[in-house]
Amino acid sequence: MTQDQTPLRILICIGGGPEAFAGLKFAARLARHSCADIGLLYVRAQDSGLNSGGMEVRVARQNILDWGLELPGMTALRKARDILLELGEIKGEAEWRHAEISGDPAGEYIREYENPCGGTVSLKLRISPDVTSTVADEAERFDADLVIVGGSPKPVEGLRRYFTPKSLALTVAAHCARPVIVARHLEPGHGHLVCVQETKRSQAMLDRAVRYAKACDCPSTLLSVAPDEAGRESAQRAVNEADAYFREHGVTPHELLVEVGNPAEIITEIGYDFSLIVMAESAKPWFAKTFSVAHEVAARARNSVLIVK
Amino acid sequence: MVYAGLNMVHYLREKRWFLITLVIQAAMLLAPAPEGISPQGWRVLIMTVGATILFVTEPIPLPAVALLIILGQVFLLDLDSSLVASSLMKDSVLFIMGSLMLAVALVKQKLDKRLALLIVSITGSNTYNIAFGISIFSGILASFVGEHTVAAMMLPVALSLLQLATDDEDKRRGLAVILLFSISYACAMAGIGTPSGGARNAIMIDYLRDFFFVADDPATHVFSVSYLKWMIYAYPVFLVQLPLMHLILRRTFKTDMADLGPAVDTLKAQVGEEGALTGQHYLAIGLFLLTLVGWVGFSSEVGMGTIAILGATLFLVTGLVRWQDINSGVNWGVVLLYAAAISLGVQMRDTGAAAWLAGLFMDGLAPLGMDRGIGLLAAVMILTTLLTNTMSNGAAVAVLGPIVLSIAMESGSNPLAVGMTTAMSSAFAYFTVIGTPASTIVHSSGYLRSSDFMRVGWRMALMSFAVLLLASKLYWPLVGL
Repeated sequence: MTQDQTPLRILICIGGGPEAFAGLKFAARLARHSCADIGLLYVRAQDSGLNSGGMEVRVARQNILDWGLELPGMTALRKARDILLELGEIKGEAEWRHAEISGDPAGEYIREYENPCGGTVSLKLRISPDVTSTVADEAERFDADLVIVGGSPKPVEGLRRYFTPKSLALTVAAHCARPVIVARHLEPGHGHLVCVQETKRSQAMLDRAVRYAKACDCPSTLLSVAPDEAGRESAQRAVNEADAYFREHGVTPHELLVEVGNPAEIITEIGYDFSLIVMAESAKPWFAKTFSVAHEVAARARNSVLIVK
Repeated sequence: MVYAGLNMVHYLREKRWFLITLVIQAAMLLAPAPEGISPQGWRVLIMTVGATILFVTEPIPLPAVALLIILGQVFLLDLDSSLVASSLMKDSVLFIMGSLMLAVALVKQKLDKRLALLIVSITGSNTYNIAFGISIFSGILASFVGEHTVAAMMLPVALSLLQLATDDEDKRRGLAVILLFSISYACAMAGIGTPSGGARNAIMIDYLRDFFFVADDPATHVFSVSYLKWMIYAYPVFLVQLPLMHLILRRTFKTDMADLGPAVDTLKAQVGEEGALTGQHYLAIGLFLLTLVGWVGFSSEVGMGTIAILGATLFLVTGLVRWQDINSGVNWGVVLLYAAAISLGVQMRDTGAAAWLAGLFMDGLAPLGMDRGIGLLAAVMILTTLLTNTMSNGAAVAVLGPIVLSIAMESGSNPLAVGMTTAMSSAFAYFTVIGTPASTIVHSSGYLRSSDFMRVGWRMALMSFAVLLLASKLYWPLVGL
């Protein structure tokens, strides 16, 4: 089985916000084309004994369950499941079963469904003291090809960016070893803007960019931004190489663009018209990723950004 | 290889505050002790700084912080291990342990459905009446059995009403903020009402006794605060706050759903299916009332902790609760943490670290005219409120207690008034989710946002400041405080 034929494995982090729910449509589109396995993950902060005065919050949670009410994570996951059900991505019924993924006897549950083409849709409720690390851990356990996390629909701008704590989506994008979509208004219909450079990381990203374009059946536009005129030639070469790679793998790019200027600003501006901006991960270490073009775009963009690892 | 590297990054990310704490402590340890504080006192201060950062940031399990405090006392302060061990167990620690066991035992009795029925029978179906009714019942119960117990019992009542009231998510959230804050803020305010309302009260009672009580000196007997005396000082403050809290909630959060008639009817029908109270319920109510009588009538003689342990034991021996439920519902590490924190507080006093810190605060407060009288009480209130919003209120009192009592001594103020103000203002944790146990529990419902706490919290804090300052000026002198 070639990589193209291997079903995609998509992990979607459901936090109750609207952006992740919107991302479900995108995941469903990918699933339809590649019979993807979809994992829906809700990570709840760990019950803390000190914050709750020494009595475990699980006593309250157990009481909620005894009343026949759902725990908040389950409600959000059920809502996500209902959306997939409406989209025809789920068949059959399934019950919650208890799991102890990270040793908590009270909080972790799994529910697994089949989708019409034989893939799986799993709903997973995990608890953790650190949500970012748990999402990254789950991405590894799930062997995810793609992680979708809902981003803030109104990005923080100006100087406030440096004083406001980073959103969960951005921290996951910085820490997760798997490709991450910071999702905002993630509608599949407007194509992908694939940003390339003449670097090994960028070239290595092309394979996945082609795969996502095929799975989504979305038109791709290739863009390279040179910081100054001296770099224009290199940018042009990067676009040409990417164009050749895409064509070689059966995808004809919709448009080729070469621009000169501030890369983050230009990518954000041009990318506004696309469903998804696709970029390669920065080579910088995790603590310096905020200052990389990919993560700056992820922070500033008003639409969705995929950082390919 | 990449996964191992990633794990290391995650590990460092999770432990960053522990590493930062170690660096800060190492820097302080290498620096010479400042003038006016003994080397022993300086080491206690280093431990306190470390413990406070770890309380707030929780990068390691909380029981590990407790164990580090114990180890620090033996290795850094060179204290005898038996002495350290004996300093861990006090009446307040027994009380915390017993009241947590009682909390789990009470929640397991499933009296909440009856309570829900009682509330809606009295309030009718008007939304604001229900919210106020929930506040009154939550508050009165929480003042005796601890806010976590009541929040855990009342949470499904509110959630049930929400789910029955509407399917519209926006409307449901609008209703949720009013009902859930009615529980959490009533519980937080009520926790100051009696010593058994919260761990912080028991900790302050122990500190007051440890610092000032001398058996041979009748003049110091006022510092051995009985259950009833505490209620006389604090309960009216809670009662005054309750309606004001409801008014603030009504003004801050509006809901379109003024009447919950159909939801109330369905809830009544659902609860009605449970049938009448059983013998087990009556026995549980009887034991709870017996414990209450024990606290009010006998805690001065045998200690509040003993009564709490007795109550929990009665629930266990009568079979009303299983040990397994208590064992899994109580975080024993927190009991150990409180024990270690109180023991560290005593070292703060004994080594002079508390007095040195108090001196620093006094120097800072004097130019503002806040180093005595009502100004000092206001300063203590603000300081406690700031700390209690970043950590649990019990931990805040455990850390601040020795310092504020030393300030009271240095300034010639009434330590009892300062101690009561500290314990009571530790309830003003209205701004954050983690400030009070009740807030943490209602937030776990998933309906509240952190910004909701900020939005209403400052109004609540201003109201509570005003009520407490007025009480200290006008009411406490009338009752001999």
